[in-house]
Amino acid sequence: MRTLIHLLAIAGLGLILGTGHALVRTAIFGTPAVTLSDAPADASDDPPTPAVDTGNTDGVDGGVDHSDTPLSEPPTDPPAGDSLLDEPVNPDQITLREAHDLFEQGVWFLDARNESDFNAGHIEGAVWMPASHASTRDGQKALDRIPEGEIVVIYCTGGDCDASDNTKRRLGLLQYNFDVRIMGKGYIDWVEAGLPVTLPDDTGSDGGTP
Amino acid sequence: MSFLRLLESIVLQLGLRIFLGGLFCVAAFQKLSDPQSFAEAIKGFDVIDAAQFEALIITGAYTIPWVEMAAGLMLILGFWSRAAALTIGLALIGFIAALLSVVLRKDVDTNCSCFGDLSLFCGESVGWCHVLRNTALLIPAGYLVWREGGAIALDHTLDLRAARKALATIEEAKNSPDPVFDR
Repeated sequence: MRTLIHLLAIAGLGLILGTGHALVRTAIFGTPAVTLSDAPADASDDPPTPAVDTGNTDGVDGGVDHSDTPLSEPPTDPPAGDSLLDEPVNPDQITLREAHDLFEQGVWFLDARNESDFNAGHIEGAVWMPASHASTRDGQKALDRIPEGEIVVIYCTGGDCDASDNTKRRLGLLQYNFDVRIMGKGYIDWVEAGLPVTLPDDTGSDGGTP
Repeated sequence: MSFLRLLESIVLQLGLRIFLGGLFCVAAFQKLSDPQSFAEAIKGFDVIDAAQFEALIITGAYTIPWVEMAAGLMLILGFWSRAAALTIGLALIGFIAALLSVVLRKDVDTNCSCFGDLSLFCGESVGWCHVLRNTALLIPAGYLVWREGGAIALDHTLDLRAARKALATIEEAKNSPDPVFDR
């Protein structure tokens, strides 16, 4: 009986401390409240001006210079059939073909998968950016290089992975004003379609190492 | 106290308390440093409908790590050792159930986030390794529920003090002219 009372006391202590933590975090430190609903991360939603620092390019992990031309030369005619490229996705997502078109235009790609998956291979020029990394100093340094209002494509493994949505939500919470597109198909499908990737043994201008 | 009992207190009970309590303190600290990620991890498990129970998930994202932290610290100090070990054991059972639901469904790919961004012993994506790891952690938790914190624990010190106080009270009462002890 005594153990049960102690157990309830520990649970109650956790609840009190948790509530206090939430209040202090948002009310005193002004950190955005934890949310699971989609925050506005699109340019059209007119969030407050982000702290964009396009001049900060020294020693930043991740990211590539998109100021001039597309960072890579993807194949004009992807080897995969139309079926995979045009496979339907959710209305708020883009197909593999649309993602590839944006890739050819040289837009930013953010990889929302975990670090080991990213290191094992990623879309050419993609920046490692899971939601948790976006809140770190290194993550924000990389994000600060992306100009305000720029199109950003976020992808994860594929299928039901919701890491892309988490990163999109985090960008909104951090008040980054990007035109975010979620790639409905994942990295696996990108590889299957024969589109450009960077593998661990590749050497070149890809700067997406986390 | 026998030599074996003292040895058990130092090697097993104190050792396991520090190991398990420390592990949970680290896990709690990692989660508390980024509650948003932990809330997203809970949502990623797809055990609770995030649209309907968003507030519950967010409350859990703040409360669970603090419960882990409190239980971990209490276990290290040896204060309410049995209850702290039981709390950790119940938390582990809950985590195992959630992990199993992800592993068995196979259509959900999510990160464990058991230790925040750290990956202790297993990878990041949820798999059987996480289930086995948490099941293995149930062994020290169960042992500590059974045997409590041992001799080198606050519980033991407080119990000794309480026992000495009770003895002193009895002695005092015996020496007093109270007729209860004269009969």
